Amino acid sequence: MSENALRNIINDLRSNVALLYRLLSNIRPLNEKITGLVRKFTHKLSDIEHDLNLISELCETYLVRLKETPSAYKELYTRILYQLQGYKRDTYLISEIYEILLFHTRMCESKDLSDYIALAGKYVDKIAEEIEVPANYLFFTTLRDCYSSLSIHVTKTHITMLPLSDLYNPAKWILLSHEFGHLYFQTHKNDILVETLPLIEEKLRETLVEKSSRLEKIKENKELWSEFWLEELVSDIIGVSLGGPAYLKMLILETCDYNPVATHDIAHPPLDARAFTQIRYLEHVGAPSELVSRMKEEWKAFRNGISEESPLQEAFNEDLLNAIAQKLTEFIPHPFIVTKWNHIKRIISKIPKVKEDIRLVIPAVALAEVRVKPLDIIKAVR
Amino acid sequence: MSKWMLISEAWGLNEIAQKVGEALTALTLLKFIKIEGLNIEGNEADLKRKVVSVKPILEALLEEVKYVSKARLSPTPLVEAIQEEYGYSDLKRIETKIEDVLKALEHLNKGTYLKRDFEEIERFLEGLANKAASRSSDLIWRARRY
Repeated sequence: MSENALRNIINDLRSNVALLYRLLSNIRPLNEKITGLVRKFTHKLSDIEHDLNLISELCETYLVRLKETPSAYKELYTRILYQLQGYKRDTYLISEIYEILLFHTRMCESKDLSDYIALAGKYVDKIAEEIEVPANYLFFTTLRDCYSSLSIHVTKTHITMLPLSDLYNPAKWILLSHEFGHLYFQTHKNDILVETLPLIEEKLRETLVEKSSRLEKIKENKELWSEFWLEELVSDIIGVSLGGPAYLKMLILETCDYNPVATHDIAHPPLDARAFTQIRYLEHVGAPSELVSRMKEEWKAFRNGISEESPLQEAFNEDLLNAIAQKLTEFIPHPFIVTKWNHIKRIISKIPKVKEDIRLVIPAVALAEVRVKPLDIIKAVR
Repeated sequence: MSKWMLISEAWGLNEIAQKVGEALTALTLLKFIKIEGLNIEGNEADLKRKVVSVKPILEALLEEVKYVSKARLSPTPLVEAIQEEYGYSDLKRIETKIEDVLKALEHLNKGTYLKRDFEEIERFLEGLANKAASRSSDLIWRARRY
């Protein structure tokens, strides 16, 4: 029995941690957000280094003394190994953060790109003010290949990602609100699930009438609702609460969906279900009829041209979606779009000759009939 | 699930795995000293503090069991870990089990060292630790394939 194998693993981890620390520290501190993010994760690396020192001491002070008691030696040896494996996983996770930051700073080397990335970040920060999410989180916006987000609750960090291909198209940034919706869902998950899932189950029971394997189907669908679909619909509601028809219009552009009654991956409900829920939410929350009409127009303008008219599968029946939409008004009772709709309408007619809050400019640009140059949008933001 | 969703969940579970792992190591040393009478020295207060530091994780798990039960959800990975460890499907029994472990932690914190409390805590934490580590590793493996 020898502790050498453990010592080797500890040394290997130490070198991993030291390299990551050096790499992160060398990230260019272009702004406070980057500095904050680097600080959070270098701090985490320092903690790991400290823990590795403690584990090293454990090996030297306890393990060596337990050699006369093999069973105790093996027990402690295994416990230590378990801990070391956790630090190995940590190094992988932190290296992902490093890659995000490295790509971000490289993109920011171009002044042109940097201005747009900063503006997108400003938009996300403003969104955060409107949504009930933890205020002590660090919100960081960066570029990747698609709209996505990464929440790291242990370090109170939320990274929102915008596709590079949409960087010069701020109208589509309204979709970042959906990514923020994921954080909203995660931080309100227990309440939303407790309030909504019994309703979903009840509606599934009413709809799934086929006797054979009925219970199995209800269970299967309920799991999909709790695991994926509800989170996506809540994120859509966050999107529509901030952008109304602008959100739906941009969602249609982004999904480019020729078959809106179908699910195209396991996580997302069909586009028909998503649009229906958004419209119903605005109706239930008491949005002005003109705003609801504009939502319906945006949807019809896209949907009426699709040739196949097969119904949505039972798991997305209208009663169920309607019940969800109604329930979600209890969570988001005063959507930004409802209070600001008249203001946004005024901006639409004046764009780009305005100087306004970015939360109003982005939906206005998305709904404007005229094509607005990206540079003019930067100028229009106060 | 996107790569980032996998990483997000892996991160949360790895944090739990590490906290529980640290508590288990401390518990093992305390057991060697106080129950098995092995001739090793240790800072008792420090070891106790490390063991008891899992209390918030267990309290959060208790809340998780309650909401799984209330919303009639499928068990979350950690609730499932406890079900598998003890062979219970009844969530009420899982709640009771967590409460028992919390009581055992309280005894230990007060300096009352009973073999059965050590066994109770150890078994529970091992079930939790193994699930958190294996699921976190699995999620990372899936994220790496993107």
